[in-house]
Amino acid sequence: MLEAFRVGMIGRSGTLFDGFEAAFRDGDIWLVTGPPASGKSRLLAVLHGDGRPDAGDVMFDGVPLYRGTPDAASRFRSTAGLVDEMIDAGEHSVGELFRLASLVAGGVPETERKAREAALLSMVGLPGSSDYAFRSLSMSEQVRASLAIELFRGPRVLLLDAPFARIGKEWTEMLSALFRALAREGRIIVFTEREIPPLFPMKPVKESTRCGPFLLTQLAAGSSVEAVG
Amino acid sequence: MNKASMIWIDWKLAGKSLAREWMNRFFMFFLLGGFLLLLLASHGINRFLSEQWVVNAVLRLNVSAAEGAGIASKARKLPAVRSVVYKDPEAAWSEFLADYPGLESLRLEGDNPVPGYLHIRLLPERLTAEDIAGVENALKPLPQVEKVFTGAKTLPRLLKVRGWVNLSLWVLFGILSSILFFMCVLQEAARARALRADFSFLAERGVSHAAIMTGRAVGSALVAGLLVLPAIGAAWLLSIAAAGRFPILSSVLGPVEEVVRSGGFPFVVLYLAAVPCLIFVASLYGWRASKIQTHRK
Repeated sequence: MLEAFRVGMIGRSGTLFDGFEAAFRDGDIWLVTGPPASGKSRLLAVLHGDGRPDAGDVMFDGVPLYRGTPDAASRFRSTAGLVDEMIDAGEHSVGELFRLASLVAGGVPETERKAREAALLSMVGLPGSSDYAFRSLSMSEQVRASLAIELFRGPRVLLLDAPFARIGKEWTEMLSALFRALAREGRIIVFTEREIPPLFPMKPVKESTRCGPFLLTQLAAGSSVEAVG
Repeated sequence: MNKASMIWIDWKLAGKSLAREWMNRFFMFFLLGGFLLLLLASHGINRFLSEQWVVNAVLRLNVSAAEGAGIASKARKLPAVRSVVYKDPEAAWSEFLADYPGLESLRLEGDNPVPGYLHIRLLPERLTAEDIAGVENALKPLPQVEKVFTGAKTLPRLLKVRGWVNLSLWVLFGILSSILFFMCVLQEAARARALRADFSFLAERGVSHAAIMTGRAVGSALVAGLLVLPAIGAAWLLSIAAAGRFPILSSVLGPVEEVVRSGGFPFVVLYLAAVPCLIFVASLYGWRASKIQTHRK
């Protein structure tokens, strides 16, 4: 379980958010919506263990990421994946990023890496894109490639910054289905959007709750029909 | 990711450029190791001076060749002595005639007027005022010895100059070592900067910067340890081959085997141990110099 306790962040123009509290259980899908410049990306970085909050703490399975042992955040990041809004992959090709991901995973044999890489890229609709420079991909392709790269390590927690806004309508259904499948495997999925996209295929489990500038909505991990029911 | 796999992270990310870098470093280890071996074998300029500096002991006229040879063998046993050449009166007379032809008439009136003598050379590391005085004190009381010429008047100044020259050579070695160290720091910093995006990728996925930093440093130290031994070995072999081809090198710089005999071996071991340690520190400095941020701003 990933929990945020009274997390606060101060931006250049003052307090971004304060007293943010949430508990994301295994198998949950959560959507965090908020207006532009409300600190959604900063919140994801904090939840990812990659941006120390000015107040509060984040705990994963009862272990504090920031006010506990120094390497707690690093250990958490090894089990979590973050698909940023701004993806800086330098000059790397998609295949090279998979190679880096395999190094993080402790060194996966070349043949196994290539097989998994091909399967994941096919799953996100990018078969045969290994040799393409990451920056040459379209925004939608970058989001999908990034997601595939993060999934390579099989993260327990997946954090995504505005994925539906960038992925394009034609891939919305695929991404929703993927989120549900991952949640059914017990993974925690938290993603941000400015607002709930129109014709969004995932249904809320219950009423959204407001937490500072953010609106937190838990989405159904089962099929949309089950969720509505 | 385990820390062991971080040791070779640079090789996995930039193997080709790293191989070129290590080829350069191998060459530097070779040059520096060769310089150290020559310094140890020659004892700075001690060997050159010990070759030039000769203590002459002139024997009395009535000393026979057998007696002279006996004194020479005793002189050889003195601890500071490297070599003793004995010229009996007949050989000394021949040398005299070679140097001053036309004076054969000096011998017509009687016996050989030229006495025998000893040419004594000291060990390079024992060419000191005390050791020269020791040789003089050992030979002077002998009744067969007429006079001992040590050049004691000019010796102190010469030894002073020798001390400064030797110190300068070691300072030069230190400067070359420092240049190698800073070159390695710059190389490590440049590589860390070039791989910054990759390290950030790893760090964002749970590999701590400390693990990357220490892993890289340990990896560099291991490769340095593996390369410095063959580098100094190659320098050793080249010295032997060069001495075989150009004998003058042996007399000025000395045979490399001399390093072991004269107690220089611990310096070689120290060099072998110091190079990986310095490369380890260079890698850490290089990481710091690359200013890779450990946290997202």
